[in-house]
Amino acid sequence: MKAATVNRRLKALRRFCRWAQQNRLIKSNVALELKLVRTTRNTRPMGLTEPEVHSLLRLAGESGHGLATRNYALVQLMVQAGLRVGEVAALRIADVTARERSGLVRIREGKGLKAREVPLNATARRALHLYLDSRSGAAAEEPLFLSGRGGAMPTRTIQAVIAHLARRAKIDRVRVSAHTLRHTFALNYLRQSPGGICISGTVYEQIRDKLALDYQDLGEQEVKNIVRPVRAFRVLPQPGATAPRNIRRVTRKYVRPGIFLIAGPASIAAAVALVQHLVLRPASIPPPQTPALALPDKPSIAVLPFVNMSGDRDQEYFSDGITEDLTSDLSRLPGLFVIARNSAFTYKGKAVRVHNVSRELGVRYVLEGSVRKADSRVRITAQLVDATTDYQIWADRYDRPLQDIFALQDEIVLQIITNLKVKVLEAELTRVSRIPTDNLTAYDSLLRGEECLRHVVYETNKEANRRARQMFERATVLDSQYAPAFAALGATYFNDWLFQWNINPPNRWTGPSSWGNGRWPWMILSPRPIRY
Amino acid sequence: MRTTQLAERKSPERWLADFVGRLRRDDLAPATVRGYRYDLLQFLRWFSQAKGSSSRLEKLSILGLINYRQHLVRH
Repeated sequence: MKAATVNRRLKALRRFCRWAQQNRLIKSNVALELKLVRTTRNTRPMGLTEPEVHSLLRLAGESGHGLATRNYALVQLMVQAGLRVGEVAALRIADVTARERSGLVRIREGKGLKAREVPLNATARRALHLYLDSRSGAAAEEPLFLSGRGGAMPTRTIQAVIAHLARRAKIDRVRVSAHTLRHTFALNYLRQSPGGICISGTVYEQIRDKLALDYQDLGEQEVKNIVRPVRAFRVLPQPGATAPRNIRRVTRKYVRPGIFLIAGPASIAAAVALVQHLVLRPASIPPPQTPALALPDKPSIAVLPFVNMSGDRDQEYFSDGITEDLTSDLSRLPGLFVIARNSAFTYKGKAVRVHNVSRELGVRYVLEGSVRKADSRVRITAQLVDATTDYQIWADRYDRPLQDIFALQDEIVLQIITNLKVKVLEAELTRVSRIPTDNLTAYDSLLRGEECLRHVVYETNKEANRRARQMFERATVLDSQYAPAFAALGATYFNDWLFQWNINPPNRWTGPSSWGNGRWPWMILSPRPIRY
Repeated sequence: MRTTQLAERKSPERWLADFVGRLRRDDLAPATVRGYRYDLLQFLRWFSQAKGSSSRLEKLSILGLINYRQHLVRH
């Protein structure tokens, strides 16, 4: 039995003994001196990764028995707003306010009898809209989520639905419960907008020596629902970081596990509580943006609904069919991560920037297109965009006579997939070979070093060579398998010899001690020439 | 003695019901009350098995509690 469970049982017993003594069932409180089991807490909070969340969402959106929109909204609400399972079960339709540009859910009775209002982001609002469309005749006081039998969906059923989806998604890295989604929300918030977390002076005093984070004093702030001004501190998780904008640029592409190792449950709880409850809103603190979802490790793509340009609403099925087939065929490709149809269809009929789609869905590539049908011909255009840069990678046009519509659809889908497969993989290969390390600081050091190296060559600058060497050494210490950094480091010694700055290069590396621990990579193959 | 008489008169189920009633009056959350009740039921099951016929509450000692803790740790 887990130590936490043992201790819970013993605490119940302690309370019982206290009561029994007060009621003279026992002479003395024998449990007073009972020691609890000591635990070393695993302080690393567990959340789901983006691919895991998306496979949960995809499966939720594919649920049978007419439960697709319900399950999809349920998972989105828990991931995007971080509600507790009991709070979700108690929601009624009237508790949800989802407008075009803002929205919130009202929690009437949270843990510890706390009522609160939780803001909803665009993704959660869209999912709820989609679900509520199917409940259009329902009264405002009806439960938000109904069970298959028609009553309110009980806590246990919600837990069972989440557990079932996680099993089908084959997530076994972590145990997935409904509460895992709340952790995912908090971790995602920490990951995406570290500059957006503010804590009160009281919290600051409690955690300043316990959590190795940087804090920025924001002075006294007017806070909603609190009469007196509150001393506030901004949490800067990256030591030395001052501008949250820079952190975001970095974290959009890469997960920074360091943050989570430092941030224990205390700060997770603080993040959830602060995000949901203590919305600091004076002009001096910009409101946190909707967090951009982190991009998954493998190439990721969203197929936006193809636009029906025939001017005939009856032809909508054709463009939707193309989109659906593309989505399902793409999801069969190994190594490609495809956004669920339901998520992508929320953009139907809306003019959206692909950049925003990428932020909201956490994808790198977006496929969009249009379908035109006239008389006996059909014309389909498709374009593949790298949404993080807004660059178009590939586009094509298919012009065919309209005879057998399904055969045509199959042909087009096959052509697009074939092209896409190659293009996506090409783009991925270029990206991967450009940054063959997952330590972003190491990559940054390499880039800085290379900048110095250019000065060496064009200006015969000895000092630049020394600086470049420092940068490359730093990169190799941060990632001892980082081939390009070692190659570039070698180049600085070559410069020494070439320009006769030091004609006695070390015959033995005198680098940091971490090189000598048996992991010195004598044989690293670099896939990439040095830009020199 | 009054303590012994009281303990003998009531079955473990009655103590438990009284205790749970107290928790409800203390306005604890339903899930917390359920948890306490379940945890104590488990204890009482172990206690009656370990002590056999002499499973009277007034016999409860710190040694008994320590034994229970070790039983939990091992299982």
